[in-house]
Amino acid sequence: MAIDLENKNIYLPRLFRIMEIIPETSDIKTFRLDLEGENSSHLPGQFAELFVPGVGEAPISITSSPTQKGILEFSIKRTGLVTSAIHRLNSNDRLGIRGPYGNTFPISDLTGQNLLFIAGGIGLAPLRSLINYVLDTEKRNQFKKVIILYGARSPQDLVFKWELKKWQMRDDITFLLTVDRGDDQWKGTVGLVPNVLKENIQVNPLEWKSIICGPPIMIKFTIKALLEMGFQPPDIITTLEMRMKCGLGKCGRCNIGPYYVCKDGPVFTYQQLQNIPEEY
Amino acid sequence: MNSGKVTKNDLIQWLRTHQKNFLVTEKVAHHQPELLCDQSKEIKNIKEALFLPWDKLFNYHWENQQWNVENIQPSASPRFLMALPCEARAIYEVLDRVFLQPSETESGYAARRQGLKMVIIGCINPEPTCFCHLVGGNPYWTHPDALFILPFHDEYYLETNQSEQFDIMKKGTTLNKSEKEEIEVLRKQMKEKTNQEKLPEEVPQGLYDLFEDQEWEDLSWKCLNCGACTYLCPTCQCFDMNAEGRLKGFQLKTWDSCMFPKFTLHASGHNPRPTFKERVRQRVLHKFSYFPLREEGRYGCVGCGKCIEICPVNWNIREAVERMVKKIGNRS
Repeated sequence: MAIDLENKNIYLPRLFRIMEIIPETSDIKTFRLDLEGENSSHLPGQFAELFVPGVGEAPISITSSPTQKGILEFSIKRTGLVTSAIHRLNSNDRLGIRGPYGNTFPISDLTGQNLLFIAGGIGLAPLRSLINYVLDTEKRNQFKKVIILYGARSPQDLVFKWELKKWQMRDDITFLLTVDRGDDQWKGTVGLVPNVLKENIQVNPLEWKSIICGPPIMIKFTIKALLEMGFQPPDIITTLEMRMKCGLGKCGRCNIGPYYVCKDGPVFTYQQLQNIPEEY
Repeated sequence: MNSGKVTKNDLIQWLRTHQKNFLVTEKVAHHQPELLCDQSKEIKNIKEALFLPWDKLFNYHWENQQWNVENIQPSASPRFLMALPCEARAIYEVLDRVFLQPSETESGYAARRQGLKMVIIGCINPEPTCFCHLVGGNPYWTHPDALFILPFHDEYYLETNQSEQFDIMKKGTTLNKSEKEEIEVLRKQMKEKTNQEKLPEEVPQGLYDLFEDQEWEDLSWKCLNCGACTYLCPTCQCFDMNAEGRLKGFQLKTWDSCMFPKFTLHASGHNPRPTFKERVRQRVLHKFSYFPLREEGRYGCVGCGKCIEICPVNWNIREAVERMVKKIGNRS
């Protein structure tokens, strides 16, 4: 095997300034980074390794669309050591980034199609990259009808509320919002995502592609509902989560069958998932 | 291919001249103690030469109210590495494929690899724990870029495509016709024998289809999940990366093991491989199914038997694989 000595250090992160921190829920914040005049080379579905010096790295999906120039956005739930450290950062602090890594949503397969987006909780973050890509003025006419169904446990757990309003006001998409449990102020739909899906969305499943992301239990029951509605496994697209370190298919921990989720995923069709061990 | 033979004295003299730059694996030291020199460095495991147990990837520090990161330029001086054919295959067939992948080449590995001159010692006394023949190797396996040395009568047979890298080749005398034939016959017989015993081609897919089999539970029963096998395995390439130092420090890459529960533990608390069964199955299938399915049939195991030798509870990967292979096609 030829040895390429010209290559750079694949593990070296680049530091970027945090322009803005948007609080989303009690434990989720969105961080907007300034790319200093450059544009991100990522495509929707990809992720990056975020590095906090002195603490470590964590793989986080890129929630901004490549059509948003000069910035990168990450929506992060405070969960482990690194995400807690990121939550402690302030505007103008610098955060290390390397990537983008992983495959992308199959944009060419989705072009010219009707798209049904289904997200639960923080699972909207990776889908948002694709949604804003599809809704971009220059791209919108490349896709047909768009339906977005978004649900969270409670109204307080909805993320991107500032952007959901914009989507709600658009007349070229159908937007449905639901919560598992409402509160006194909540006037909208109450119900679990898979139930709301079956009750409220009537489409010809053979003419639609569905892209879903959320907590594992939500994905499981949503796929079940989609199959009951008549969706075909290749038309159901989702993303997997695994513990990752390198992001390059080398460190071994995200290995499932012949795949490395960090490199061959994180985006898989349900048809692909049916053919790999359920070890995720 | 250039070949020749040298006397034992000439070979020892050459090894002595370069001894300070020689890494010798424990296996070679054990098999061929006469090739060891005082100042050559003995390593437990061949991967130590390239895939370091501890490797600093970059530095960081806090200064002027902000973080800074600095690259560490990899450097490596040219060295010789003396190993048995099985161990050498771990580099050519497995580690190179992981760390030298185009566009994702690991610069540290590449720098060390570039300066490495491989010396492969033909294996003349395989041990009961060895099984290189099952996974596509054989005791005379070599690579054209390496210097192959085989004890031959009271002398040593040498062979390489890179004579300019190994000045010992100048001392070599040409083999006469009958000697050449003898080497060819030895090789041919060995190849025929080992090819017969090689695991059948359908094994990687067959094992994959047995993912849900009950036998994995039984196989994992004895294993302690101590990870010793993965640390001494020449092909195990899984690693961890951690920040060392709070305000000033470095990102450190270290060996890791799929035998440890934390290896796959999500921050949420969910673990896709929660028990011994999943982790033992992972170690076996990664080497005998997933890696070959990805890498054109090449096994992620070279059959050196090190893991069998050192296992504190005698867990035997060869037995495990053979037990599962018997089940291929027998599923109800």
